[in-house]
Amino acid sequence: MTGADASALAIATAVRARRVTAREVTAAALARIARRDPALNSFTHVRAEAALAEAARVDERVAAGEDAGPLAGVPFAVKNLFDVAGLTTLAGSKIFAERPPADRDAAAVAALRRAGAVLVGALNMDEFAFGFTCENAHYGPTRNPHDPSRVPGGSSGGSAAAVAAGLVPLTLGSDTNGSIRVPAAFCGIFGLKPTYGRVSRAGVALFAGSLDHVGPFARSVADLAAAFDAIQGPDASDPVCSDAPAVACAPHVGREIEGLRLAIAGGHFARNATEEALAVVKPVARALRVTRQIEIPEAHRARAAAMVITAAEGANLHLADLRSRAKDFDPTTRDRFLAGALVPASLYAQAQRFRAWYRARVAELFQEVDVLLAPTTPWVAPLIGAPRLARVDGTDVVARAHSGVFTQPLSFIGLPVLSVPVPVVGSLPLGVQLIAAPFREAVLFRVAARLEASGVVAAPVVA
Amino acid sequence: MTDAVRVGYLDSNVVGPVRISEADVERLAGVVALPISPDELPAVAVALGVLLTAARLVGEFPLSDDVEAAPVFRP
Repeated sequence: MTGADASALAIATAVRARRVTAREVTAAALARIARRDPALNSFTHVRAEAALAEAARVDERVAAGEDAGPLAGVPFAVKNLFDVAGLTTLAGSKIFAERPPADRDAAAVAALRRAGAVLVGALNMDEFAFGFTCENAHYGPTRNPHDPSRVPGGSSGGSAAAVAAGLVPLTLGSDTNGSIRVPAAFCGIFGLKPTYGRVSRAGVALFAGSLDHVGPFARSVADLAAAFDAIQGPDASDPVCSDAPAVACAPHVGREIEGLRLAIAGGHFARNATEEALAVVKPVARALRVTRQIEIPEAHRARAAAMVITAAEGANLHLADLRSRAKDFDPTTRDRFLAGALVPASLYAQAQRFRAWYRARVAELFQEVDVLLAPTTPWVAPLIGAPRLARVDGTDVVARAHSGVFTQPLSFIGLPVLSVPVPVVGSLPLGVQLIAAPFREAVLFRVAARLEASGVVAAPVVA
Repeated sequence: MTDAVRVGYLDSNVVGPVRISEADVERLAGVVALPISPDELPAVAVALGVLLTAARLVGEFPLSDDVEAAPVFRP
């Protein structure tokens, strides 16, 4: 239970049964981080002493016969845009490093702690979550455990790399345009972007509030469900958090999928990518015996609208700093934030109106289907320092932005999406998105568990 | 004028790329009191061209007057 490949649920079961202590599990995680992270650079802060003290308190509760929680003694870490009491919330920036420490935990961090999990540190990210590579000029690039010359994806790159390398079994990240799903795919692990408003963002630094989501990463479907169940549900302190009661997903892991209507997303989701990335949907579809194709209308335009909203809202959030100290922004975000500040209001409003139209059309589509399949990324993890432009499907594209070509049209309307990892023999892992109607995360877990049981998707620890 | 703004799939047959000059950026930035250093102007012009190309693609799609913006304000 102290090994890199131990699952979160196996650890919790063993801690609760007193077969291992939370302190031993935490010490082992800290030792792995100390040994491997200097090469990966996934952590920006490790709270070793505090984590060991908190693990000891979990052990005291177990010894006293108390319920130590469903995630008792499970080490976890969070993207450094989550507030952690006593730590400064960096959001990947130099500017926020000047701010005082947070005085309380973000809601999702507090929820995992209430479930018994032990927070071991904070993780690297693209500055202000504006990127898909985790090449951070201030804190250095995080490296992909599958190939250290490549990016882990972003913006939650540290969150994905730490889980893929077996440093911790669970992490949290955020997803505005693909920032959970892209790194999950590039690092070969599971990542869930829940329905917009399903998980509280209270205490999480915003990027583009209309599109910001919080969600977990894990190496198994059951672990992902346990983490999601711990953090989902209403929270009045987040103005967009839904009042709808939480629907536990753990009980759906292993349930039959017969009767579910499945289809493959065509059109936009079947071009704009390498053949390898498109082909990865096939084994997943075969395992589920899916042949039906459905086209999501105007998905390319949805992506365009998401770009406009993201840049305009993000720039507005940081406008004071852009005016007074633009040089302190990461060079990879500075030009895009400055440009976002110049977008006319009418174009922003049009994008928000298009969003309403698109939501209605996709809702009609989900009257006929329960889960859609689509590739997560248009390619495998790019090299660190890759050129600005790349050629794909006969077109030159802005490489950094193009990693989100398949994720942006879905987060744009807040659909729940679970990215499952597909190992590729002789190559790097890729991902497939399982997509459902709002608040139907449970069906995603049923399908993901079936795929995991079939062996088509898997997230082994990268040694 | 900057290089052609290439944003891949956004360059559809329906709309062409929006080209933004450094002078355009300077004028717009002046309107919103946003100082931009001369060495940043080329990159910002490219980035703004990408955004305005995206916005044009969205704007080309006809929406009826009863389509209300997605965000909901609850007083």
